[in-house]
Amino acid sequence: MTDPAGTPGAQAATVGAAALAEDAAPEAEPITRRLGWAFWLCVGWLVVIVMAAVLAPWLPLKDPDANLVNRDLGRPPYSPSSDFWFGSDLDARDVFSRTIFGARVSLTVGFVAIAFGMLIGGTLGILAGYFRGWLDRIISFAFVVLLSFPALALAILITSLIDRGLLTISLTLGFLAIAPVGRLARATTIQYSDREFVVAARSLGARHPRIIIRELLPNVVIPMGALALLGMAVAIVAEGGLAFLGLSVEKEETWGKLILLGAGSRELENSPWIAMAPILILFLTVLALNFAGDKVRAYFDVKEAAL
Amino acid sequence: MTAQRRSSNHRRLRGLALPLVAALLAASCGGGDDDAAPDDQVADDDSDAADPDDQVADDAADPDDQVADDDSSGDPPADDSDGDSGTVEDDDESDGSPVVETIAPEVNTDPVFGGTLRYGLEADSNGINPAASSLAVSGLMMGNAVFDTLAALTPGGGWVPYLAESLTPSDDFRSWTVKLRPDITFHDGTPLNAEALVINFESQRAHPLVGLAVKPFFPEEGATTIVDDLTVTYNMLDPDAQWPSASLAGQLGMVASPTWLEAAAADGSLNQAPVGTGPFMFDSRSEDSVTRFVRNDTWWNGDVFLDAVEFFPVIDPNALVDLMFGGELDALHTTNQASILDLRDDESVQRVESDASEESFAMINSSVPPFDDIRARRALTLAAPVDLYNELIALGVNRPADQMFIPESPFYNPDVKQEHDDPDAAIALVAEYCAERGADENTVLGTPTCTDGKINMELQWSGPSVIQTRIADLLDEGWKVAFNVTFNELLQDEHIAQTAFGQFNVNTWRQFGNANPTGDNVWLMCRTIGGISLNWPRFCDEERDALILETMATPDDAGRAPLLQELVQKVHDDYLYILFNHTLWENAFVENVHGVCARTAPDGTLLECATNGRSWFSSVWMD
Amino acid sequence: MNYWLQRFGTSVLLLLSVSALTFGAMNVLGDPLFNILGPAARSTEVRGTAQIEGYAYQAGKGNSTVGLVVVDEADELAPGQALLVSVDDELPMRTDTIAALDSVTVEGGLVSIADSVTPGDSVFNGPDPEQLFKVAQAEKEFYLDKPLPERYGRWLGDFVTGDMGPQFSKTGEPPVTDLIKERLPRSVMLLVMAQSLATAIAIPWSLWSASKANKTVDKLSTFSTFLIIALPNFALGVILKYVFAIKLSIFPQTFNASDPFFSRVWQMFLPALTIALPAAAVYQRLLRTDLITTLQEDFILMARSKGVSRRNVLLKHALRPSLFSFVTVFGINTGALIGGSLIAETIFRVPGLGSAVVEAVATEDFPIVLAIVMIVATAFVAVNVVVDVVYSLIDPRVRR
Repeated sequence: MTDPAGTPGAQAATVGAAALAEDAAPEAEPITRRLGWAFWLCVGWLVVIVMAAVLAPWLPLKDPDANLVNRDLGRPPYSPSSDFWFGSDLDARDVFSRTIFGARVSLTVGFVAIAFGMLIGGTLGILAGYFRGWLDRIISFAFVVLLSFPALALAILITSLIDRGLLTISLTLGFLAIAPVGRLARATTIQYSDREFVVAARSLGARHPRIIIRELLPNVVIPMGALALLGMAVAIVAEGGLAFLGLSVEKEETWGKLILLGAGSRELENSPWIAMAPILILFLTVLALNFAGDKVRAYFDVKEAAL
Repeated sequence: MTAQRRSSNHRRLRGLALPLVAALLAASCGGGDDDAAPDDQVADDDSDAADPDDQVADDAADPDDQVADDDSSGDPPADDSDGDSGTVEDDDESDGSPVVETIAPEVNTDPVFGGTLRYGLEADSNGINPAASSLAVSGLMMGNAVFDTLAALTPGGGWVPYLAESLTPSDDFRSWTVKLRPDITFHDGTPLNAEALVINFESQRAHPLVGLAVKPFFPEEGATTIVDDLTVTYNMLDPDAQWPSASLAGQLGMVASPTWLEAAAADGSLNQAPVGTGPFMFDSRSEDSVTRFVRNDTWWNGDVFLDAVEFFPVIDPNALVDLMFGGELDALHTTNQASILDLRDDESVQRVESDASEESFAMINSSVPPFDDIRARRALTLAAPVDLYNELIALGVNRPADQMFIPESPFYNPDVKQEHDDPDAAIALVAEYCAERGADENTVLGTPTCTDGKINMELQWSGPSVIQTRIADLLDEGWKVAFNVTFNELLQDEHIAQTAFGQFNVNTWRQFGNANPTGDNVWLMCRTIGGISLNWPRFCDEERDALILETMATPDDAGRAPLLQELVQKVHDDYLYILFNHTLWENAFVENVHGVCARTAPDGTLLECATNGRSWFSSVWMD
Repeated sequence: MNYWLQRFGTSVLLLLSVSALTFGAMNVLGDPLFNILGPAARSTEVRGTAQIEGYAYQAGKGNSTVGLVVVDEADELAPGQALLVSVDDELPMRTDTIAALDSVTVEGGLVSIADSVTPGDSVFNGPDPEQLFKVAQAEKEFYLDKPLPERYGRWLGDFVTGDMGPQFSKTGEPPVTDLIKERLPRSVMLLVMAQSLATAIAIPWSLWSASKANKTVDKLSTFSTFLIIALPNFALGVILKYVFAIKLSIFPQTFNASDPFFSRVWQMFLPALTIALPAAAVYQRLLRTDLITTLQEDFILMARSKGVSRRNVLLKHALRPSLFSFVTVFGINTGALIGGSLIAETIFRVPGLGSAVVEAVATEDFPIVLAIVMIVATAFVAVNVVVDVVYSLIDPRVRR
């Protein structure tokens, strides 16, 4: 199984590479039909981070924006201590609190982006895979066009032309997710379209919508679900990349922005925790999503047809 | 043909733009890693409001002598600059000078010819044409290599004729007669004569941007009169007793080859290849990479020792200093506080350090709601977290500012204190404002001026910039008790244009610092408000104008002082600028660079070493 | 042959779509005139500034003057009203201050009354006819008054003949091709180094993993690929910079374009590694999977039973047929990396095509963005074709 999240160079176009990478041969090792403890550990982490993000305003966290200057400690940034669990940044803001609050935007972007991508891409892919013919050709062509764009560049371009709001960024990344998701949906649909139960349904006179919804969708949803987890990881990383370039949302903190603020050479040298703490949380979250997605996929053992 | 009206998309500008509005401040914006945004240098930026009697640069004053406590009572600076004082907070008085130098002025006894000086700039410049490019510090540095100015500043804050042989005012100071030195040619062979001066003047005036600083002060017709081949009389609309130090020692005083000016007007790319009379000649330029100048062997003011000077723009202040420590640069200038601290720590680095220059502040646009109401402006000022700003952003390196003058200046008004850090008073004022005018429209945001009892406003800056983001967060923390702050990080061109057109509420800026305070008049007068306004806050006060004009007409500092002090009070009371601190410029040189402060006029008068972040290389040599 | 023709046609159509979409987006969502002229683009509306006293402004470029040309039909013009005047029948110009009609010389053209202004305002800040002239000129030169499809067509025509347009945001407006020529080699160098590193890491690693399939070390190795891939590229770059450039000072922090070749190679090592590590992990997984599958084939068993050593089995027999997925993704990466790596170039300040895109988007310099998007898209397409060709060479079963 290839994991798209880290494919470099293409940056957020890893999602693009994902689609093609997933066309590769699946693992030949024996499929364990258990999700395993590691899977549940990942899920656990994700639950924790999502809950923390959702409940952040009510948790006993320090105000993420407050400049908690403590003159006894000298000039900020303060190193990690019992008071500042992850230390403070240059402006004496609590990095731990900011990281939790940063999850709110980062996770939201990831979720909305992939949801949007799956909704549009999944629909288009299923339609293409089911109906084939000219509809398939047009939709597939559209996918390829989308995949040909340098994804991060396109994301930067669109957000700079429109605005840098949360919704715009989420939808832009979602837009970029349409093609890889769509290709997978299409491939899976094609596979299943030839299966007996679909053929049977059709010969029984079932109409298209019914076949699509009752027979295909449930089967397609599962590999897409796995892709959702992976895709969310990619979207989070993409938003992080945007934020790292200084081009994500303007006011709220996001993980990428936090990393950017800590990534100057002076800061890295003297106070690495400013960047490293959000890097750690981001890394763990993306790892968890990747791993869980991978396990789900292996569990359901879906073979994707090469396109 | 019919009028072509262009409607603007999404809050774009309506109004006139000039191409180099973008250049205005573009260069100085650097990577925005300093504590302020664009720094306008259209007019002049010769700083040095030091007391003329000040004994500057006689020794290596202890660099920690920067006064943080601004209760210093404007006592005349101490004359003994042995300034070995304790910590910053303890000092009640500066060491006697706002300029710290670890470079003694030398007489160049055994200068060595040869060598290339590699200088690190905080940013690049869009072009190096004093009549067409808006030169911020970086552009002025390069300009200093290739152009000479008609007048030059002396360390005391005065001026002497430089490229000009004499600068003589009329009795009423409405006219100044400039007599050039004979037999000087530009690098391209064109002779320096009266006609060249007039062409320079007219080019500046005709330029849509640079002209904004020139046109309001000269009559349409008869602004210049050619007296003879080497003499031109400038006739101004208002008397200006110290015009040379206000205008002729900076960008507007740089004299470029008229042949080149005309060619550059036709072909904009020539703005990158300047031709002047200066100690160095243009050699090559790769924008955003390196600009190189080579020695002018026939310079009119003596020997030039360096073979060449190379300028490297380095946006990242950390990288800038690292390059010098790593031996890849021989000199640099910076306002980045962390860098300054590093430079101070290194004994081998020679420094000229001065905060007698600009101030950094948040600037308020008074022409649109909500800030057309003084209560809103005052509330913003009261709520501003200036202390935290100076502690966290400025790292305690800069002296907090109450006004545009430093305490050592003879024009300093000790009664004027910048208000800040008083959230309760701010809340009260905002409540009052909102009750009365909360339903007005904030045209910049397109929302009502108040929501939920707080004023809606937009804070604008140019980015992407890490430090500007930090500043915005910091200011928001302070302001949010009474204001709903919307962030708007714009690309530099757009930001500058919106500021020039008055399409902003509040932004962060850097300004003032002309050695002659009336040289900063262009930012303050009614006559520079218009479609594009150099008076950025667009605040017109006829009395303020009258004060400025009266100051301009007064020749001596003693007479000007009370007027300027009154001006400072007025500026304060208008609540247009929320001053943070005095910008501290650090000019740093490695050990083997000599002669930085040995610059002289032809008659031997010692000239200013560095001002507002820029220095000169005509007297520099390396071994 | 038919296949290749069809392939070619699809590729061309693809590139056209990409370019059309990008062009359209930039022109519809953005403001092309602003991209060309910067803030000068706004100087099309008359703002109220005029002088009361009679004053006729003469528009000119530089020091030459162009006579004002007024027109026949004119409405009543009140003092302080601004006029739109045409200079040479084609390009409209405006004057900022006209007091009375008879102070302006009439020669022919068209007048229309623009917004009225408030008398008494300063004359100095009037709309500058020269700027308006430039605006009109720019509109003409770049066909901005023409409809979008026509503009696209013109751009396309220029582009395919090698004219990628000017860099609007740089003074003097050098051609985009200059920028490409300057920066493409660096991105290519980065690409070559990154892919070489990645392959050099991935192949031995995958061979080793495949030979130890499913043992503990292999599971650890697989886990470590997860770790590497999960770390976002910008985080990896920051960490590498911190560890190797700052803490250990082995590598320099930034790239200097004017340094000699080998210095530059050394400076590019860390950014190349930033790209190479995740790529290597991905490649490794693909290769390992395919190797394991291949190793289960009969011909391997036969080779082993003939006494071929394990090592030779791996290297000589198993590797080649296992390269497909790897080659596919390798190809995709190459295509994408030609457009530079935005993140790695930004962190390590390598002035390649990636950072050019970031800068160009920041300055809304759309010819540059368009050109680079097209380069990447073309590379993508070309690489896909090459991959297909390589496939058909590698595997005789796959032939068209």
